[in-house]
Amino acid sequence: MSALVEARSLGRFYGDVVGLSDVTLELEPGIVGLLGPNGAGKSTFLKLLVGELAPSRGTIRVLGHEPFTNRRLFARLGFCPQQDALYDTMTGLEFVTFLLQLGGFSARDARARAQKSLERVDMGDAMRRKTRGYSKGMRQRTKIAQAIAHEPELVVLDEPMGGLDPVGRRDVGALLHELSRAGTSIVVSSHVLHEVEMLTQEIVLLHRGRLLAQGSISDVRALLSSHPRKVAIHARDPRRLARELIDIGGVTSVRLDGDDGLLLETTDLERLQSELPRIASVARAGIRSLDTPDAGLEAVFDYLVETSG
Amino acid sequence: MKAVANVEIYRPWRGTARLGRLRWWQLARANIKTAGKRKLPLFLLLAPLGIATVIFAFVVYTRFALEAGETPAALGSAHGATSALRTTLMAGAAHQMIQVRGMMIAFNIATNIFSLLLMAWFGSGLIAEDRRLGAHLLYFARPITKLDYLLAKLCTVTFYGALGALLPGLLICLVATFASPEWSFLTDESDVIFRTIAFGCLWTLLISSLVLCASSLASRRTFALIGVFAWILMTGALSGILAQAHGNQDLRAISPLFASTRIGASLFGIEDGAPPWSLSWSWISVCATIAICWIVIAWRVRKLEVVA
Repeated sequence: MSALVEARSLGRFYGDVVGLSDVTLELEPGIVGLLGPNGAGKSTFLKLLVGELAPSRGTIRVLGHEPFTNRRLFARLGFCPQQDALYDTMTGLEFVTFLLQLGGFSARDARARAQKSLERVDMGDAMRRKTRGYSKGMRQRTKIAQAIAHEPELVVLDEPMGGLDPVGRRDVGALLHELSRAGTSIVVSSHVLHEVEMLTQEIVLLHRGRLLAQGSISDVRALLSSHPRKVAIHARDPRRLARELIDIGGVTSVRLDGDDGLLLETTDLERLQSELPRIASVARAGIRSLDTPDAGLEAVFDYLVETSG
Repeated sequence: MKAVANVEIYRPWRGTARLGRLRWWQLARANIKTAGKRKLPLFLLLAPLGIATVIFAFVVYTRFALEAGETPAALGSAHGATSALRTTLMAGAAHQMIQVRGMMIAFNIATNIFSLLLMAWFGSGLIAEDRRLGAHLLYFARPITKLDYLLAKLCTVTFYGALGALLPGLLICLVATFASPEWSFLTDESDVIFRTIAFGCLWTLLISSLVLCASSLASRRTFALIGVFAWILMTGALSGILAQAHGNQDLRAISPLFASTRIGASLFGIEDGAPPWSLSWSWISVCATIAICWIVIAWRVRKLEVVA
């Protein structure tokens, strides 16, 4: 299977402002998280992906086609923008039906599909109510419903969990997982890292319009070999363990953390992991737990953003 | 890229790409329907137009009824020789005093403000609100071109414009057609129908262009609404001041409102009592206003995604 999305030296400028610069990447089927702080270029990338913007430089191909004004391709894509986008005087059902009709479906077919997709996002009871009375979560679900109603191959969601409460986030997450299991590929953007971590391990990191990293979270973390990794150890006798660990190659710092905690930094995590059992045995330190707190997405992101200046 | 949590089921798309016909019409229909859901303003703006239409239609009907030798019940019944004389006199007076042509220009002047209000109220949010809500992002992710989008917006505002500027005039013409004895209105004055349509279209196009232009520039519907009236009042005041200062009435044509009144008078063939400013300058003013508005609208719509 070739890549769903291929970008080569992709750039988009708004006058003198750089929206996106020299991005080269390939996205494969599945769920991919597009991460970056506000103003990183996520929305620009998504608009380029769904063909709403033309690239200023480079090329982008989606499902093998150039997306800009490619109206035949639009039928294979579903887009859920970050903005509210709903007309207050319409019901959820009317809104989704109308958008499906714009996509070329007959009135009857559009209504049936709209109904089905709204039920799928758990909006069955509220779909005949005016959208002005909808909660943020309901509005978000309605927008997702319009993006999936025509059964697209690739669904692009711009900050779909923005403003949702924890239950709403969980529900949207479950829905995206369900869509993915059914074979729909999803590109989801967010600046909230744990939201993406909850959905997928495959990420694309953007910062100031540039591609910072791409791959699985663990792969991206492994790329940062030059950056010391933090390791937190809880042991019965952390002082004795600290004396032994300081001699291991790659360990750059060791400090005590509370009565039973030890926090160390190493540039060679693999070596530490291979030698730790032996050292723990010799030192009789009684290790209770071991954790690498900076292996999470948040830490990876912080490191990368720091590195890129 | 190594997949870790990705679900490696890929469902190749097997559907048919539908483009649909008259895509702009789907969008226009939805916009008309959405705007029409604001029932109170619709009623408040259409009610005076309806009342004016009924009054003017009755006057036109009276004229033809008197010409035909009938006295409408509302004017009181008459019997005998005196009444026959009275009817003849009234018919002559009505023929002299009530000219459908003159009635139409008077009607248009009287009701233009309401059709302007209708178009401004229902049209000012069309692009501004789309931009504020980001709704255009949903449209352009579908097989909708910028031209479809603009056509839909124009169609929406002209629909409400036609309700105010075209339909009442045509209704009066319809009454005149059926009330005139032996279809005399159609045989003698049928040009009034075409002139009514022409003036209604011109007025609707002018005001829709202004309203859409304001809507494309404003970030909210309210600002667009203010912009439309500010433009109309400002150009009106400016043209008046300049005309007074230079002693040149042609400068009145700077105001598209005054210019369209002059064009209206000319269209209905009313030269006596027509506004004293130049017809050619009036045409230039109206055409330039429409052209500038559409240049601005095209530029702003082109930039829609960028500003979202």
